[in-house]
Amino acid sequence: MTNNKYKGISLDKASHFDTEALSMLEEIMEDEFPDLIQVYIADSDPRVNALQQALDAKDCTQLRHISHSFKGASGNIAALPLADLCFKLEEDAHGDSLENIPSLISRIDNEYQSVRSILLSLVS
Amino acid sequence: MKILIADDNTSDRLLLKKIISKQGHTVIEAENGKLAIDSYVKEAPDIILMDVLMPELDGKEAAKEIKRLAGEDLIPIIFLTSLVDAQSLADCLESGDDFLSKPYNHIILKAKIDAFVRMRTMHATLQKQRDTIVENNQHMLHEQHVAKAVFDNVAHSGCLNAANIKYMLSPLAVFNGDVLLAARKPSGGMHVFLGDFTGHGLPAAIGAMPMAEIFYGMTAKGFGIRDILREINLKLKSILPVGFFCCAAVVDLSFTKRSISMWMGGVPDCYLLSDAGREFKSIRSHHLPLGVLSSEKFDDEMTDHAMDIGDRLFMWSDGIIEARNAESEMFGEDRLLSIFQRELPTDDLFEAVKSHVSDFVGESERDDDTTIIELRMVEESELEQSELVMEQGTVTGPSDWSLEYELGVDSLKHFNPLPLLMHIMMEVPALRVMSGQLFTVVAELFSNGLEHGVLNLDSSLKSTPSGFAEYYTLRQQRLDELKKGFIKVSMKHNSIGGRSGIFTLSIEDSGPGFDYPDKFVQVPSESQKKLCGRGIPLIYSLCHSLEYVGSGNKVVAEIHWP
Repeated sequence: MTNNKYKGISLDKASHFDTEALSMLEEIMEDEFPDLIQVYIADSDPRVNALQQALDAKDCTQLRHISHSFKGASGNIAALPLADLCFKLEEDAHGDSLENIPSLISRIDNEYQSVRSILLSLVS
Repeated sequence: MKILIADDNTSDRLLLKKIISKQGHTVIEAENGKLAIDSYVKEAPDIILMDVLMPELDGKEAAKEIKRLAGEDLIPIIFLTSLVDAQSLADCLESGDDFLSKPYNHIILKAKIDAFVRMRTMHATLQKQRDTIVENNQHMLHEQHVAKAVFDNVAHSGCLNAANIKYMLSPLAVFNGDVLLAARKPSGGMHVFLGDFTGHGLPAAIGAMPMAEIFYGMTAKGFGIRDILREINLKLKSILPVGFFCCAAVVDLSFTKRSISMWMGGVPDCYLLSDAGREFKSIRSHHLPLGVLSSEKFDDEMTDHAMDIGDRLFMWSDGIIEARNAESEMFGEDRLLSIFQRELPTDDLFEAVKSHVSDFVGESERDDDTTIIELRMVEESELEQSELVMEQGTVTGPSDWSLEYELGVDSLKHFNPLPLLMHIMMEVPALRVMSGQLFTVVAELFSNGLEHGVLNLDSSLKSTPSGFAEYYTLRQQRLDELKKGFIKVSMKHNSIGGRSGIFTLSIEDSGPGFDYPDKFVQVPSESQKKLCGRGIPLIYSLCHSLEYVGSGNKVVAEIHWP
């Protein structure tokens, strides 16, 4: 899963999660916490590519839908910075200009990779 | 509780499922709006948690459909949303019942689920209670209708449909606190009773049952109206709770005398109107209602009023006078009186009163029973024969019997034996249909025996008005002073195979007798004038044979049937 592209990503938990909410989540889910992480990752992995495809197709509706879903799911696993980025994308996709969107998608991609790595480290 | 989670996001669903399962609920899942509807139909969950944005069918559309399917059932739908602006959240409450923002806070989620469980339980209780109320109400209405049928048979029967009566009863409830009774007397004439019990509905109507029984029973047996009133008063006094009574206007109508005797207690003034409408008389109540006073204090004094053919008597319950319009103003006696001052044709008055009251009340709610009756003086022959229908095939009742009944001084002073004698005769079905005829015969012969025999009164006294009064003064005086004397009544009945029969009545008195002629002829001769005074020609026409024996202190009448 390590990839050159993501070398040097930050794995500091506190800068990517609401740590308090995350530990509560672990507490609630008990032995199903790893399942939750697996499901989240399985759902989210295709989302970055899907966002890129929607942008290429200039499909704003699709951009909004994916970022909305991504935001909800990420919020629920306490990945608040990622959820915030998704929210920003959802908002920008309402506007006329797609100018800021490529950079937003790239930031979401980076943030997601950090979240993903941290989550996996928690359950391995 | 069974909780349906509808969310296309697997991880969100997983998290929610975990939280809710931990709270002890069963979870079913759906991935989109369409599946959520299917799941609702199949699994009948108690509460639904639904994501707003879903593929196939979004949350709001699915919610609308589920609410439609649920009908009267309460199915709480809580929207799951990561939208945060006020408008979006408010929108959730249009098609759903509440919302839960992402990320989920499990404490708030638990509180919400608990709240909706309470609401749902409350709703179910409410529905159950409502159904119970509806069921009870239907049951009660059914019972009331059956009871009303019985009640109407008892309380509103009699001869209310006679040609000389117009009436209206408008019950406020199924049951009516107003009572209207009318019965033909066996001796001819009519008793009419308008009663208004305290209150209305069932509690008011219940007192009417024994009252109607007494009224019809005693009238049929030939009791006078005063005895009937006393009996009703005594009965009501003993059965009605304190503060409950029956206002009444009671009429004893005589077609032959063209007059009425009235007793009124606690009812509004009655109006007596001559045929042409020129003369108008208002008759006021002078007594306390029935059921108030004890027998000792009860006053059965009646007032007499002459009525010519076509004259009308109007009686009503206070529901007419106290009928209120939308402004809560009462109809009042003045309005009622003014209808009678308009010189309408007398035939139209009854309808005029009805329509004026109904126009006045309009759409406003009635708050009392309203009853009106119009009683017209007619020739008795205008009325249908009041024959009791003899049931086919009833050979029950005594057919061969005889009795002797002797009344001594004390009984003669204080007791009217006619109802008892009538009662004995009425046990024979064939005699029942000729009760009027029999009553006349027994009453006339008995009073002859008492007045001309025992009391030795001269019937010729009655030929002048002043003599008439003297006659009755003398009658009372002699009766009071009576020291010895008797009347012996013998009755005998024999039936031949139940198809025909002979009833023999003999009345013997302790008087000196009189000089009676041997034969009766239709046109009385000079010598038969004595008999006229004794009402004999009428009796003779009713009997198969009528014979005086001995010194004339014994008379034997034979009545044959059919």
